[in-house]
Amino acid sequence: MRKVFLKMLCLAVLIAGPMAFSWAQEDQRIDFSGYNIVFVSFDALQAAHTHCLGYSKETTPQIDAFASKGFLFTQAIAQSSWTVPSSMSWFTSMYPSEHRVVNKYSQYDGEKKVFSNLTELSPGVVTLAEILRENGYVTGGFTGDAGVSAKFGFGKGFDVYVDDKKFAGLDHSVPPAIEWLRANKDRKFMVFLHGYDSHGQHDPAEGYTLRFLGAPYKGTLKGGKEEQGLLRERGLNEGRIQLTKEDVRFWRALYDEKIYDANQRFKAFVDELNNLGLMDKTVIVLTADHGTEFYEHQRFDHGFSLYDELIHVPLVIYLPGVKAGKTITDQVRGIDLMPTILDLLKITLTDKEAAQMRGRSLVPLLKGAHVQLDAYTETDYRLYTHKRALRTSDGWKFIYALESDQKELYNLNKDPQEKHNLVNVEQRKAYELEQQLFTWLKSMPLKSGNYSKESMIKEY
Amino acid sequence: MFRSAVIFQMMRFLVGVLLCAVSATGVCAADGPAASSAKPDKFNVVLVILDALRPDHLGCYGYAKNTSPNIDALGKEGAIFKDAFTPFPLTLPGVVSMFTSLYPQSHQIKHIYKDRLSDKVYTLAQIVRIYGYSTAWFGATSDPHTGAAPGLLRGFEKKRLLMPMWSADPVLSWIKQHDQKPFFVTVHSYQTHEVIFPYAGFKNQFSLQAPSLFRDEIGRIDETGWRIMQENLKSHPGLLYDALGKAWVEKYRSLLTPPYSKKAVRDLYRVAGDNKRWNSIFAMLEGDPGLTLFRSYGTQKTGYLLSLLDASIWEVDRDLIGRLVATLKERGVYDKTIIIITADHGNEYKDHGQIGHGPALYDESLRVPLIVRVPGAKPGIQVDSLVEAVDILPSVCDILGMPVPYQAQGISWRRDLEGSPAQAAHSFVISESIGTDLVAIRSKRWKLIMEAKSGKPKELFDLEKDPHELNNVIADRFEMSKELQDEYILKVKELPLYQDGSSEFVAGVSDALREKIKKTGYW
Repeated sequence: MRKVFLKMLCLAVLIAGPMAFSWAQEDQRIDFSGYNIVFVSFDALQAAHTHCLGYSKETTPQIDAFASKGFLFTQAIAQSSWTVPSSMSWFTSMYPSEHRVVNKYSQYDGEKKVFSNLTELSPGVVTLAEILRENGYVTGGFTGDAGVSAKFGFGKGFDVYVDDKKFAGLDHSVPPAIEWLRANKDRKFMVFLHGYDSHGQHDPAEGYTLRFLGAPYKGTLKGGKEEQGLLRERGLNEGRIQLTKEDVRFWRALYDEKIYDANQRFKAFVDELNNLGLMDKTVIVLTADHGTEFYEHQRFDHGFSLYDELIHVPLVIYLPGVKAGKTITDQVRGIDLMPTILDLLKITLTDKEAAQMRGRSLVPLLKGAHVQLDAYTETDYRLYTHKRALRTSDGWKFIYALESDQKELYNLNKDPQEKHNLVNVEQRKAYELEQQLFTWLKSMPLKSGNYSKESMIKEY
Repeated sequence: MFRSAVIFQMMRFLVGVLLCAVSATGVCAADGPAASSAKPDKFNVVLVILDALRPDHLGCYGYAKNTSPNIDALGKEGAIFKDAFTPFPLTLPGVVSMFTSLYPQSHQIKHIYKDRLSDKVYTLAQIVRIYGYSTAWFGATSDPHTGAAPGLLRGFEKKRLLMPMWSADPVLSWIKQHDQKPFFVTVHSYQTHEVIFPYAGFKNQFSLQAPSLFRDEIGRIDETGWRIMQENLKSHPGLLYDALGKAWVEKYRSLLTPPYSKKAVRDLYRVAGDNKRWNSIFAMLEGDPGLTLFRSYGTQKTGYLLSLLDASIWEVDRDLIGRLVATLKERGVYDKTIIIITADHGNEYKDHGQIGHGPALYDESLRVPLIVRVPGAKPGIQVDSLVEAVDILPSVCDILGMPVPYQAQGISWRRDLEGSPAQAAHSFVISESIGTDLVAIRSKRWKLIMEAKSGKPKELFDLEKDPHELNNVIADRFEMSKELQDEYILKVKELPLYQDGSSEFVAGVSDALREKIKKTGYW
């Protein structure tokens, strides 16, 4: 009896030992100090249309390829449902209410229009690029302008920032990025690469091929950015639009095509990284700033709502030399990307920089740990709406519209399409999430310190 | 053989001892202080609001006369808050603050028949109801200060008329029907309100202290009041028909011709109590002769008035509080029930030349009793921290383990019940008046009264040296008044506004009455 026990013990040690040893080695591998960082934003790409996240069509070969080599996050949530606030949340690790770049204009009364600018609205806030530059990195931003225009402060901390063509795709931003790579291949660099390819206001220069359509379209819509703009405005002004299933299928096919094109254009950048021998020295983050609505809630486009089709985005983190191919299902947020990157690159932060970040490093998740993070998300879309939402780590979504005091509650595990508002049915959950949401909201100062709808609208 | 038998016996003995020890500890645990089998999150809550009751007439607050033995007993079992205040010396805004944990500067509900509680605001009753509690409110259902105030009673499933001096039976029978599951009951009694209590006509060791001539005078006010009320009803027969319908008017025809029946008028109140249109009729019953006479009394008659107050306290203490406690015990739910006794505001009895409450911000108008008895808590606690009506909601949520709403502007005093000071106690309490545009800020030692609009300081009192607020030291203590002014601004500037005061008076409220409401808070 005793002999058997001892034998088992020895065996256990023999097995566990090397595992522990390799885990310790694994531990050491999460240190990428001096490595490059490439942060890619595929503007308006829904998680639901990403192939490696379960979409049936192969729209995202590049993202899929990196996912198979790296870490694929299935529940990444953006901090807003449109470009300006969501992207600024990445680069500051702050919520829109805090970094205050919540709308195109910080002042708008018909006559006077003042662009929102990070430095003016939140002096003292540092961006990811600024911190990296302080730490010896060269930094380049290559974008499609519009929502990530330097006007808003996105250029802060970048040595080079390309934003000369509005709603430009990766076909426009990749070439200068490649040129810059060649010039800086011997330095440690940060690249922010962005394209509006899959966005409703971007049409491919060569026109649509409809190759993802399948059966021919039997409706009357034409596709294209003018029509998309019209549908968006009609939805905003009338509350909803009327589309058939065929119309939606048609539009999604156009979307798929643009997504695929974006991936192909990105491939050119990936190829260059390989050619320059930089792939083994570069951490890569692939994500999207928000999704887009294709009539899931009777509207088009993005920014107005906070449903999952708008805030559930793809996220892949590729670590050079680490063959992971792992899927992480815990909910994570856009604000977590900056702390994660700084942690991976082993950047020492000042107290002020560390205190600014509201997100958390996801490195423990890369090592197999689990976390329960709630995601707060907000939108202040033009003059139409001011919504705040809480998406809990266990699958509840609570949305509050400040201008109308309307509340919505969805059980995402049972109703992932957010069709059944349970706010009057699950009263306890609704009450608790409302209190949690407003407690969080109250913890961030707004200019007037007042959340009445009048004070909100005066801001813009 | 003999040895093993002895060992066996010893073992049996030891086992026996062990078993006894185990069961003894079991018994001890059951009798220990934190031994209530109910968990705090399932405790019932009974909130008693005794309108206008100043604490200095309660035994447990040091009153020389034994007016409140039942309340005192609860105080001995639980905690007595020595420095509890209302932020507004008037019923409607005071109760709103209590139910919502919002300061009047924030909720802006001051005028009866006009201001409405925003739908966005959670009331305490709403919250506990969400957590499965049965909820009931007993009070004056047609009173625009309470029962008929729009939105105030949100969350109470049951609202039932309970007039002063009426038997507490409706409250007790509701409790008996609902005590199998957690319940929240609020009783708002006007029995201790100035003017009301003489109508009781009861005789006890306190009322009999007033001379009979005085009691006769009070009796005559009573009669005059009834007559005016009847005359008003007679002069507006159309409204009566509108409100109650022909059938009821037929039934109460006796009201329209003398000699009238007091019982009939009381019945009319009971029937009409739930009728929303009664509000506008009630607004027309202007001119309360009792109120006018009271306010004209000098200090000598005030003394007699106070004996009637004592008489009234005695009666409500026995008939409401005493019977409540007895019923809870009889039903076996006493050990699962939190009892809170408080008032919406105090009352001035010539302390500064007036009788009544609303326009002045001296302590006699603002100080309220607060006695809290939580099962299993440390007995006999005296809490010195400054507390306000806005603290009740967060405290109850805290004790019951429910999330405190983000709107709450008060602080939980749960820890104070353990005898340790709360971590974030108020350094200052603030208040606002009706009709005189005054605001006040008070620390433990200082009270500053200022003009609301300009912030101009008017009166400053050193409460340590001058607890009765008779010696205004504003001229000599400029620094102190500036400091308090700044603290007031700091406290109110971040408060969100829940309504902007733009609501209209309901139909039927004359211009004269509107002015009166804005000036005094009353009709």
